[in-house]
Amino acid sequence: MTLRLHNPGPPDDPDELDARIDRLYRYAMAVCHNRALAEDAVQDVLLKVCRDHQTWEPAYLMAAVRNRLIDVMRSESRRSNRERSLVPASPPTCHPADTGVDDAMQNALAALRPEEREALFLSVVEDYSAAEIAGLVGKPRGTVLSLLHRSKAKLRDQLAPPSRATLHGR
Amino acid sequence: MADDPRTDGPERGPHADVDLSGSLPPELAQRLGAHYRSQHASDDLKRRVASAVEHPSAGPPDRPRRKRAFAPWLAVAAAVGIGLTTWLTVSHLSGQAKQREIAIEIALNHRKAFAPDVETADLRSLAAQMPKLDFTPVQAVHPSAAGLTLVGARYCSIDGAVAAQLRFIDAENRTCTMYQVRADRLPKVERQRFNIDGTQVELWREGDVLLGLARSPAGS
Repeated sequence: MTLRLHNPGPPDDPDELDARIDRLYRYAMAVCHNRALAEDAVQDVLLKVCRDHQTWEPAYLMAAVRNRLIDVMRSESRRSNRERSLVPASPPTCHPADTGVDDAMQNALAALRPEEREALFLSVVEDYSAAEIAGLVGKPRGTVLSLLHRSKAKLRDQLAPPSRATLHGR
Repeated sequence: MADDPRTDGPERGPHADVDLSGSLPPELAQRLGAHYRSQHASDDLKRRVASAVEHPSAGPPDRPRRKRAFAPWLAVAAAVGIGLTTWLTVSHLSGQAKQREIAIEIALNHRKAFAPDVETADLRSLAAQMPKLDFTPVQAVHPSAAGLTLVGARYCSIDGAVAAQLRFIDAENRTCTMYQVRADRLPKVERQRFNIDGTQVELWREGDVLLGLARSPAGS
């Protein structure tokens, strides 16, 4: 029996292609919260996929972007640590992604750890289950649930209006 | 996206996961979704990817990369590396030049063929017969010195240091001269052979003594 592997190529429709790029870019933004890094990672991955005729399977692309970002963020972190020893006032690790967007949300997301932001994005925006997120990011499902719990709590604390009970001290 | 990475397994659906992760108020979840949906990749990136999709082998020109931060340690490492390489090269070349100078001096001494001050076949007696030497002549163990018979010795100098010129006869009854001098009187010498206008000169070190053996070309 011959096992045939499905190797989807890029979409023919330009609008569909743009939508795929945007979706991958949003995922990259969720991971790194940095527009320049996200664009670099998406570009690197997609150009390589085109050049090497690799699959356009979304899960594969997301994993490739994620790995690329992890590499870049690690090297950026090492570099900023070095520079921090020379320059007392270190620059913020994340930069505003887009102007004119929800600044409060932007700041709340910036306060999350990359893995918290990633899990939150995949769960709330992409509607993935915890098991699916676990499969994608290579972490146990329990860890993903914990990440979701923490990220949602942080977001609620920063953005949700205080409840009536809180307002009345009870 | 047309191809969805999510599986259609039994875990799909609103009750797939027990909600241990807490929940977001609906308006907050909508706000989060709207926030991400408002973000788009740049047109430049989309153009480049579209171009790569159309012409995969052409390889669209890369978008200008973010400028990499200057790494001072890299410059320092490069400077140290270049300096070290230069120093090693210069010292190696100057060492080579010095050894050649010594070999030339030995070759000249060899060609002069002055008569020995002391005639003896006993190397051990030389130290007593040549009291101006600041070292004790040694019996060379180097293979090049094998089969040589001592006939005499005289004082000479190598690079300004007091040295002994030992005259030997080899197995073919040819005269060769060996020079011995305290090694610490001269720059560091590595084992090496030279051909100085036909005279074969070999330098090496045994213990604290530098030795140089000179042989005339065959048939001379």
